Amino acid sequence: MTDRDIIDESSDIISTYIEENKEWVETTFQLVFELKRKYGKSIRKKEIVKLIESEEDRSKVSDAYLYMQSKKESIMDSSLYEDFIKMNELRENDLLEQLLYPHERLKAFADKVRSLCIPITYFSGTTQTSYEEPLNDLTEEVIDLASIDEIENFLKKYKVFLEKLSIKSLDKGEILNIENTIKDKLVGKKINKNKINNLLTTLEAEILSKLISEKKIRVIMNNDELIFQNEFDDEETDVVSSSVLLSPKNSIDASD
Amino acid sequence: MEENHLEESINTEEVVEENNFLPSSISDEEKGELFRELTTILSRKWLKEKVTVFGCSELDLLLATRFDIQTLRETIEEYKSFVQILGLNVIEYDMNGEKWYCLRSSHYAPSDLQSAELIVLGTIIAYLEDDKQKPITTEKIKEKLVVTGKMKEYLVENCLRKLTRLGYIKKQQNEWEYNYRTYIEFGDEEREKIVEEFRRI
Repeated sequence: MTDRDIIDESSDIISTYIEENKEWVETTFQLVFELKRKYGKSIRKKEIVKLIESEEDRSKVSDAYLYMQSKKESIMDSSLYEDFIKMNELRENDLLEQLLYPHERLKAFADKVRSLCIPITYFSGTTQTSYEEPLNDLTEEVIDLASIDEIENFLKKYKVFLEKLSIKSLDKGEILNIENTIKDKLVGKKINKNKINNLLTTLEAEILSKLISEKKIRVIMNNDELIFQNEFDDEETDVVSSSVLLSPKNSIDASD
Repeated sequence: MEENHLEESINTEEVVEENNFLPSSISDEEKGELFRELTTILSRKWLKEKVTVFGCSELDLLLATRFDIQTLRETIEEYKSFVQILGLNVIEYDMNGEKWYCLRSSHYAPSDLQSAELIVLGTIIAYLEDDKQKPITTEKIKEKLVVTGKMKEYLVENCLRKLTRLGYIKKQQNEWEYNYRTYIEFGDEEREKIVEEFRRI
């Protein structure tokens, strides 16, 4: 006789029994229903039912599936078993947590919060450009204030810095003239980076900067030489203008 | 009457033309430049009234681009699909009733916050999500973290200050509330999960 035969035989006996005792069937379903409510509530509130109590409950309804006749009753029964499993998981997790030290639990909490965070993306760094480096290059020059020659030499040497900056407004015609002068001076020529400071006035340097930004002149740096080109093709994208810091030696008035 | 009707129809045509001016007339090259600039603008971090903010307000974008509101929003919609390929999302958030835009990672990325700050923030989230009616005071946070010996008092206070400065929380009449950044970085589901995890400590 196989196990299947034994089950079939016993189920036949039970079904006969069920038919004879309908009240008992109702009581079993009522028990399943009550336990389902109990465990559902405990799981929702994370309240742990003790292992012994849980085992007693499980053994009470272990044969209940034999009495379930409708589909609804069978679903209720399987749902109760799912709750038994969930309660077991909850109990195990609680036990594992108790084994952790409080600071480990805190760290685990911090890690969990970190893993749930999807942060904003931004570029880090200071928002201002530092001006410290050029200031470090400053040197002091000591002169003898009693000597008139030394004072005169000093004033002559730093004449550019002592002059007052004049505000000069230009009309379109004047700007065009200066633009043409710059083009005559520079375009199509190779000029040494250091020599260009002597060639231009401060005003011309400003206008040159404007011409480069407007893409009317292109500058290419080749070692120490600057190559100036006129009205290049827009399609040429592989070469870009170089940035060069100019410090013209001539003042504005020198161009007048 | 007919003349008036004709004038009206001409005016309507002009309006339609104006509305169609952008972005259809923007060339691909100009659009590329605009998107590059948007990336720079939306990924910037700066301080506004002692609170860190990210990206740019809609009003500032309108002034910078000189677009009308509809065009700007259409452009941003297009930009959204552009950055999505790079694993980024354009997020809209509310700052004092004003609409702001910033960029956010699509998936998990390293956070700015240290462990202690995450614990304090997690505690505030758990309390606020558990019962939104109950006020969250500094004393209540300390009761959970300091009185039970989990953290030092000065550390909790320091974390609260840093979280406020970084835009995660704000204090309103002695009670702690979410600031814009918590809503951006922690969704509804994530906040629910934090509540569950909090019960374990």
